[in-house]
Amino acid sequence: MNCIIVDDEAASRMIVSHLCSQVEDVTVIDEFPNALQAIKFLNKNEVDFVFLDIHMPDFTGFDFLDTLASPPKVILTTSDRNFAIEAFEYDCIVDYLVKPITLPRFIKALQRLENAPQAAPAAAPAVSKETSANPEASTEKEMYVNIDRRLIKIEFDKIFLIEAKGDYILIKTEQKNYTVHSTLKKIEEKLPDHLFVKVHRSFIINIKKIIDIEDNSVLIARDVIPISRSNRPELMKRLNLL
Amino acid sequence: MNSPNLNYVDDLAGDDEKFRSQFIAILKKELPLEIELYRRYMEQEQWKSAAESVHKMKHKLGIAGMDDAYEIAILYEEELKTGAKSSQIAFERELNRLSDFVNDL
Repeated sequence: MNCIIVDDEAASRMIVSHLCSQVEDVTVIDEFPNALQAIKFLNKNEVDFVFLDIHMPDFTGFDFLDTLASPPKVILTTSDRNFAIEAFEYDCIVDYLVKPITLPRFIKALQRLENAPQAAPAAAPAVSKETSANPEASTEKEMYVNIDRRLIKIEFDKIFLIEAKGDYILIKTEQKNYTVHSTLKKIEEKLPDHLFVKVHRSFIINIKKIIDIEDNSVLIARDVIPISRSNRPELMKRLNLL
Repeated sequence: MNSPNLNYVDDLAGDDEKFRSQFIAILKKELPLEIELYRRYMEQEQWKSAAESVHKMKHKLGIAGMDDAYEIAILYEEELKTGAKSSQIAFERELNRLSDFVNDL
């Protein structure tokens, strides 16, 4: 069986890779320190399963699963015991390994993997409430953001995208980027619906700035932004498709 | 409190000395970066990001067999998510023990 390892922690990747070398019939064909690189790889390559860390900055393991149209089987690896319930909502997840991982528990996970049915391609969920039209959104052409006690004017049509970054959001515009202490949910309420759409838990994009869309990613200026399965229907609805 | 040790790493490595030394090298490289990032987030009062850092270091505490410290880290991570810091002193004391241990490897 071929697999990839997705984990932002080098020590974790090394442990999983070493454990794989201890068992027969498991080959690690590549390792990735973030989910976006792994998605690009999986868009062009097939693997039997993925060792996936849940807790990665900006783009979590669950974001990764939401982005793939047909995710392969997955063994989650995490230091968090509290994600188990959410994990069971995904058919592709066959087991859940709490770090630090031991060889006996690792082998048990592989046995579960072999016995698990192939994950069925997931249907696109209905449009989420978060991405549906927002009648209260501003009709203004700009907004003001508070940066270092100054109110900076940002014109909506100059914004490429907005990315959630922990306690902050990053607003990328034609002129420069702004880091603002806020949440994606808060700024979403201020944005005009006709220009912006949420394509992922961590990204809102300006529809007018789209260069192209490929499978589960969209190119905005120089940034390749993931599109999650749940947000894809709303994006496609908003495009003027031929 | 459990003393930091390499029991887990030794079990994992078995006779594979190359893996053992490479893994220790990774620990020595990665842990200081994680600690630096954690301290920066704390200075900047970015509690959620600091919680993410604690989450990463929690694994390192587990690797070093510091089970009690691991439990403190779980508590502290949850506190930071709400901006609370009751376990900060206890966590950072354990983090210093881990850091000293890894430095001496």
